[in-house]
Amino acid sequence: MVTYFDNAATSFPKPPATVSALCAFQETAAANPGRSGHRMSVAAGRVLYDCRDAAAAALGAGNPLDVIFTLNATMALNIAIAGLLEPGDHVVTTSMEHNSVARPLRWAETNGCALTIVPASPSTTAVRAADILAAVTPATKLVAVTHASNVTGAINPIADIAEGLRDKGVPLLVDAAQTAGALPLDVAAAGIDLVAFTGHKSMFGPMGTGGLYVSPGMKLNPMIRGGTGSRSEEDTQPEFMPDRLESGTPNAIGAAGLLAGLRFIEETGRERIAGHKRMLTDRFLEGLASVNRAEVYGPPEGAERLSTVALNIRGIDCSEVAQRLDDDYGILVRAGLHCAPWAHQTLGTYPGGAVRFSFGYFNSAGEVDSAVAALREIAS
Amino acid sequence: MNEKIMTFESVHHTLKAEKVLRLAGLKTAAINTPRRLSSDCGISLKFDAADENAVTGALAADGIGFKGIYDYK
Repeated sequence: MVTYFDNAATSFPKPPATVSALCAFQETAAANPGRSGHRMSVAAGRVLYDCRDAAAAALGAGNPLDVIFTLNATMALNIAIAGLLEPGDHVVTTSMEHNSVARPLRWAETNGCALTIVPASPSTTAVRAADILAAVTPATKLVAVTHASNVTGAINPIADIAEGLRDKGVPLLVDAAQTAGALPLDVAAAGIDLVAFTGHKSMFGPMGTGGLYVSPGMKLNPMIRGGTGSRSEEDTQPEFMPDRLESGTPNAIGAAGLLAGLRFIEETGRERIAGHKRMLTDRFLEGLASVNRAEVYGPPEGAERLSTVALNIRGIDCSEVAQRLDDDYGILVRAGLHCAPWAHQTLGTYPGGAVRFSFGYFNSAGEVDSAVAALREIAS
Repeated sequence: MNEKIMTFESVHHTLKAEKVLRLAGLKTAAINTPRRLSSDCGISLKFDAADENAVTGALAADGIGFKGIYDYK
């Protein structure tokens, strides 16, 4: 038996319905979705559409056809960034971004774009909307902000940022890898233009699922072109969504699993899932007070946050803490930089890193207590 | 029974329309688009000609566009 506290990397286990949906799809409906007119192809297409519909609802997007499927949030972020930016453009982002945003933006920089990285507060590890808006210039073509940090679980004020940007006419790209499915994300009402999400974290889908919401006003240059099952007489990419940005055979089996995951959230209740994760997080944070030399980073007590906690035990390398938790206690966490060097620079934990605990709906209070006890032993 | 075919821009639009019509209680069938009509999308929706106004009304209410409506045979 292991205790899995690495849900910010991918949620585990999945609901049984997610796993059985994968088998059921493969056994009964795994034709190429929507490419042919026969019943299996249409049935597979319906699964894909139902998943698109459910994902759009989870994001608060009015039209499911504004959502394209990708392999993961990283691919969605790349499609948005590369599809929008041109040499001479200016981009504003935050010091809490994951490399899935940082690296495409550093690439854009080498391609003639200018980049402003707005620092988050080292203590709260969140950015202030006013600081983001103050960094916008007439040349700003995009603002890219993570909804919540994958390191500390701190939540950024994306609704305030979106509201401020509306007057300036600058599009906002939100990296919702950590939040989609976990936090309400009313993209249409908030006026958010682009949202990258993943299916395998808080949406309880399998790996290889994710997508990008593109608001009706946005026109991205496709990064990938190819077969769409539409306009087959034309050898150029269709202009309309989702075909414009979605070519090739999709991960329909993954969509079947993601659809089951989204239905699990609906049936269980997003609030109930969030409440359980919050209880685990609070219990852990309280317990850490009894751990010698524990240094916890991120949101202040009582702040809204995700169920992700970054910490160090002063004097012990974070990788050693993680290894001992695994070897001696069967507790699985992630040590290091979490693909987020900027975030660790913000926290002051670069290059040493930190130990990250991320709790999921299937974790129990007893598991959290065991982790606190283990940390107490390691720190003693 | 007279039947009609409705064509769409892509299969995603076809299946979105199919779902909206199903939820509106209208009977449709997804079929291969006859080659004589269009090659925009290989799948179209077939429905009872008597339902034409109800079908177009339900789609309009949901803001779903279609390419054309044709006699089935």
